[in-house]
Amino acid sequence: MELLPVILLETAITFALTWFATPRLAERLGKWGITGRDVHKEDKPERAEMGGIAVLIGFYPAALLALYLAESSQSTLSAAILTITIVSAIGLSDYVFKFRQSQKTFALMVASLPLIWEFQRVNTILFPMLGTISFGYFYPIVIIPLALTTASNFTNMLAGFNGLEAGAGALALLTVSLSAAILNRPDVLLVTLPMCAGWLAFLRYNWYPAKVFPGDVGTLLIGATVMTAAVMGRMEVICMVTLFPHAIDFTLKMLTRSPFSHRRTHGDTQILAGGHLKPPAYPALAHALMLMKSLNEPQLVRKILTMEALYCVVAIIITIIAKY
Amino acid sequence: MGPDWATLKAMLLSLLVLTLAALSLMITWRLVASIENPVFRSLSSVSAAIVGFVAGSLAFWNIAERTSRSDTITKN
Repeated sequence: MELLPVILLETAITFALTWFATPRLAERLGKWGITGRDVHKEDKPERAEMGGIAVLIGFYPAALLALYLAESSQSTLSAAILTITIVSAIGLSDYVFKFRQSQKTFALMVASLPLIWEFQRVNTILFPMLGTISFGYFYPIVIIPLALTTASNFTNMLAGFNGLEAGAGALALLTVSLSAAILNRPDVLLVTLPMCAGWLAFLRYNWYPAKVFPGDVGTLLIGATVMTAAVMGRMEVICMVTLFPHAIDFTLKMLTRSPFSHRRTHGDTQILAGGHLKPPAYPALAHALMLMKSLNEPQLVRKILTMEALYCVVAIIITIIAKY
Repeated sequence: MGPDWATLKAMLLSLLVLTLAALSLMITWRLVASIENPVFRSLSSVSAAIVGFVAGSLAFWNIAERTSRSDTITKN
């Protein structure tokens, strides 16, 4: 694989820059008042928001270097970087303008335009064991924007617990990277492996007790990166499986009345003695796990990450089936 | 220390969601094999997978809720 040195260099740069930038950025964000309450602690401390910017600080210089070094992948990598940039801009703007859900959905569809342009001639999805299924013009015009919007919303909604977003994101991106390596799609690795490294570095400061939160810029970015990789590597089914815990959470929340105002109606999760969590009365993945067993925040996050790891293993098995 | 049954239950329920989605996709794909339009055939199979996924997710929630410990639900 001729791109291997470039991928490794890009990954190392992203990890180092994110590791270095995260605590410094968190301090600055705190000083500027860009903070949010950590609602799953008894004392509800203020913590820096929008820490996802630190991953971008790590990713951009590395990706631009890769763009220069990996000539054969310039076109697809440019489309991926552009999509990631637009999604990040939407995440940042959402903090300032507080978009309505419909506005955010429309904006995320616009973010898929670089991918639609780059992959306009693609019209099939590989379903392992069934074969390649043709979707005609549906693929670039409907499936790409819908998949990007849906995946970004998935990762945006399964959030709010220390280490959950970054941990699940890193696991999903690592799985997508492994699948891309098995299927010999080096272009995908140029995006997913550095991003995975960035989220791992960020996790160091986001793990319980968190010093910084990823914010919308981070949560939207994770879903968008996974789905960009799906389109780039023709690995749609594999990438969807890595986001299954997010999809279950999203589905449970959508199947109730007024799905975007649950917290207003039912309030937040209650904190009991010893930091144990008592869920509000509406369906969500985290609430289902809290119902099964009394859990504190790190225990809950570990459970969801174990579930994520299970789906990641299934995704790798599907990749191997697709390959052979 | 005994096995963590709650974690085991969560993992089994996770696999239930996956199995229902995959089964719906495969069964529908076989049932609509005679349809010539590939886009319609694909869309109907994917729709069935989504229905299977939603059914699995609801089963996940219902089983979690029915077997919950009595002190964990906040009544509004």
